[in-house]
Amino acid sequence: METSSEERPIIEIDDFSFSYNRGETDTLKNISVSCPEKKVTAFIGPSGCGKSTLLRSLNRINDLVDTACITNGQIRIMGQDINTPEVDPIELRKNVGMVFQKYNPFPKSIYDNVAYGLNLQGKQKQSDLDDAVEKSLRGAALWDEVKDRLKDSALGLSGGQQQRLCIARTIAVNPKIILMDEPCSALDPIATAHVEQLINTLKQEYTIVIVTHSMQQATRISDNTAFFYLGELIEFSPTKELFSNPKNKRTEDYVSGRFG
Amino acid sequence: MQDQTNPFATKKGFLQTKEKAQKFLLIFGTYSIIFFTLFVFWEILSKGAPVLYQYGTDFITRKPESLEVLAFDAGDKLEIPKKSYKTLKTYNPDNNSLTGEESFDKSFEYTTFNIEKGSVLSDAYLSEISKYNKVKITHLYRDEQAPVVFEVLNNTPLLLTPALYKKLANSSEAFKNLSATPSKVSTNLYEVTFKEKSFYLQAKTMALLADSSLIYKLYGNLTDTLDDKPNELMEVYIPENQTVLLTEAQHQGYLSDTGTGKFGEGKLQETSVKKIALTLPKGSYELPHQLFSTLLKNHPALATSHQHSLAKAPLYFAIKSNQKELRLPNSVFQQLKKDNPLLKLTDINPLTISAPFIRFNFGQACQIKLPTTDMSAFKEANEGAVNEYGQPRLNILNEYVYPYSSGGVSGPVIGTMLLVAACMIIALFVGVAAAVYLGEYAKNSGPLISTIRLSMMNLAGVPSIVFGLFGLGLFVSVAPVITSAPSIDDKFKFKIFPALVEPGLAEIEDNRIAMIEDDKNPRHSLRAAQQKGLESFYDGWVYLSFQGWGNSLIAGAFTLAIMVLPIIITSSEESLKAVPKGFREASLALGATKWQSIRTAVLPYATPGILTASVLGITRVAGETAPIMFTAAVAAKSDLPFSDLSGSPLNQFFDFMSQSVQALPYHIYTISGKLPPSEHIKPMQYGSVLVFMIIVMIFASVSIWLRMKMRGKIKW
Repeated sequence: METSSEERPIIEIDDFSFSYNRGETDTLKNISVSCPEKKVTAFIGPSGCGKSTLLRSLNRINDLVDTACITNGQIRIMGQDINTPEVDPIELRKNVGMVFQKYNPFPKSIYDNVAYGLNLQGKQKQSDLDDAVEKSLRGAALWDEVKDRLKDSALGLSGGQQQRLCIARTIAVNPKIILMDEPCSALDPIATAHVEQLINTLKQEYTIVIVTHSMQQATRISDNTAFFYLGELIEFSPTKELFSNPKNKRTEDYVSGRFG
Repeated sequence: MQDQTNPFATKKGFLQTKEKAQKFLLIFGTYSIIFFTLFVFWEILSKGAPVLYQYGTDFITRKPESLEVLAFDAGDKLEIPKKSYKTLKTYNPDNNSLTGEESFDKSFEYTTFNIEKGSVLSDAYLSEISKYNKVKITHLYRDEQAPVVFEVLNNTPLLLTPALYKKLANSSEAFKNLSATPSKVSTNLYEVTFKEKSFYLQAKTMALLADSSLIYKLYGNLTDTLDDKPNELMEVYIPENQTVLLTEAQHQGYLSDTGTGKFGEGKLQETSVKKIALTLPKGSYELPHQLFSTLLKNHPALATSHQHSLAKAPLYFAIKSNQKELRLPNSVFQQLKKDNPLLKLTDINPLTISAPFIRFNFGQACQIKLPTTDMSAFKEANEGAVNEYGQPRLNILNEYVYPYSSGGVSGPVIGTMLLVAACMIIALFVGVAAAVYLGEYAKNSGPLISTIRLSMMNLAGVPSIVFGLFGLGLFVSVAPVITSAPSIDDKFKFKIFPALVEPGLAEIEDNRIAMIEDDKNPRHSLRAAQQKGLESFYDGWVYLSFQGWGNSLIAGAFTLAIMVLPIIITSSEESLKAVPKGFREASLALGATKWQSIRTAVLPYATPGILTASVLGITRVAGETAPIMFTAAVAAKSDLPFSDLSGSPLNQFFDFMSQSVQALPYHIYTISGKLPPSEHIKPMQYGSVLVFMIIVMIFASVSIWLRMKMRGKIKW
């Protein structure tokens, strides 16, 4: 945090408004956040405040919802407005990976799950694939646990392992940014600790944006934190500052557990 | 008192009785299901299982055949092929009058030979050759001038026109040397003008007019109708105004016809014609085929030695065979040599082939049942055999034939399987494509999508007979065909590109193709074909002709596919919906395109559901009678669909798909609904139904097994 924003932040959200019902009501209202490179940014807030929506806007997975539309502002990633027609969402998503709340490995082998994203990009050499799979699984701190059963079904892993497998699957395609949508909400405390440890390692290489319900988690892993309430950004500042010395009354109420 | 001790005691009265009655009705309704199921299954099982037990695998592997029931006098040393003897035992399990069976090898005398290249032969002998040899005979061309040698059996007086006499004398020394006397014969001819029109005449009149020079097109089969009901009216189309001369007999017949559209009495033209009278002595003659057939036509009384009809000119042919030489039974070979003395035969050698036979006795007069093929083998084996008193060994007292009452269900089973396979390929392709599009791409329902969904729901509710008629209307009669020989009855046609190959002679004759010089205007070709009374034409172009696929496998498969389409689409869409959204999102988040994500992360996990639905679809398709009745099924077909294919693989595929097939449900309908009931057809009915039920149950079990297996394997 001390050395932040010397260079241009990798994600710039600028006065961004978003609607799920063709612009009748805005789910997100005039949000402006910028996430610096190779840092962890946490989005916190009560359910329904729009933090997941904002996260899903970052790799345009919200395009799947037919009635969704952007009503104001723009999102720039690596300096490029991502909602212009010149941007291919497929290329965008290769650079902005995502890990979901409910771990969702495909009902395939562990190996095939990790290799899935690479195989989408066309035929790969078997040796290259093997290397990439090992690298990704090591990156997700899963290699030692699964190296002897790569051909087994991914569904046989424990919940925490499955979520780390999803992370391995995401980093296999070499994204710049990893979005995590409450990655630990379905995990027990031990699995959560593993994933948090992993996030701390991953930020050496990747920019991470994480949505979380757990304020302790946000304090443990994030460098910057944004607090959302009812579709509005209430406060965005370095994590320590936000939790120890909130500027806004509502932030203070929320982080001290008086509501939410 | 009870009321005081138990405040919740049952109150007796009308309400309670009513409640009980209602409950009883509900129970009765529910349990009657078991009753009906048991009844149906028991009926089929108890009567079908003995049939399958009695006939064994023959019931699956044999074609449906007629059953011949013959009553015999007692007879000794009757012979029957070993294979047929087995069948005899199967069909007559409790016949005690069969005694003294012994096996032996019966030898048959054959002659092997080769035919020199460039020979001509009549159709009949060519088919005899292909019957006894594994050969492919290509008809090259007919030669009207090919010499025919024939023997006149009696001295016959002839009355020839001078022109014919001149031709005969020119081409044959024998005719030249006959003493001919000119004479005068007067005949009455009637000049009748026919206008371009469609009308009806009796079959017997048409038979008379066939010899006149009238150009017409006749709808229906004249020879068949003539045999059954000569007074039947037939539709005749006269393509243009014509004036023709009719003979006295033709004119009389024409005037006395009860049909419509006559053009009034003809103008009498009395003519006296010069004829030449001569007597043709008994003996051997050689004439070009054309003259020979003219002579026969003018003098039907002339008795000649030819075993087979020579109505068509002899053929030049090519024989393709893996065998070194051809073979024919001795008797047939002798006849061939006698009828074709000019034929150059080489390498003639005798050949003896033996086959296992059984000899047995009928101890007493009795009755046996056998399928037609076995019965005729039995009869043939004993033909002409006499016992020591000079009496025929096989003495038939009585003979009955029951159609479809023996054999098995091989043709219908194979036909049904082919129909189902072809139908499911079409239905799955269209159905899954539609489901993917509707479920994954076209989520926001515009008016077009709603229309599609509405029409799908409507399709699901249409009675199957309507599909049959729809298939008849679309696939059988107007579907487009790419052909170089378009039918003259098609709806419309377009020229596409010049034809690469001319149709062969056999094809021209089988499909009644008019060969027409390259003409710029298809309408002229059409007209010319009509005037020749043929069904299609070839003018050097390949056409896209909307003439329909005919009663064919492919038409039936398409009709059935449309029928199951709603089932397939609905269940495929459900299966697609059941795949978690997370798979799609995860796949897209990894940079997959929409189709990549559907192909790799959605379809594989929807496959179990789609498969289950399609197996259920198969049982439905396999059981339908109405849609295939008009589009694909025939009651009787002598060959299995695989036989009788020739030409390039592509050609074979098209021939295969455009043939009609037998189908099990239609077969059951035929044997139980269309034929007179008899004790002999009953086993066939129950056996066929049981086989059908077993097939359907196999499909249903496969469906259940698939579902269980897939459910265990793929879960999330």
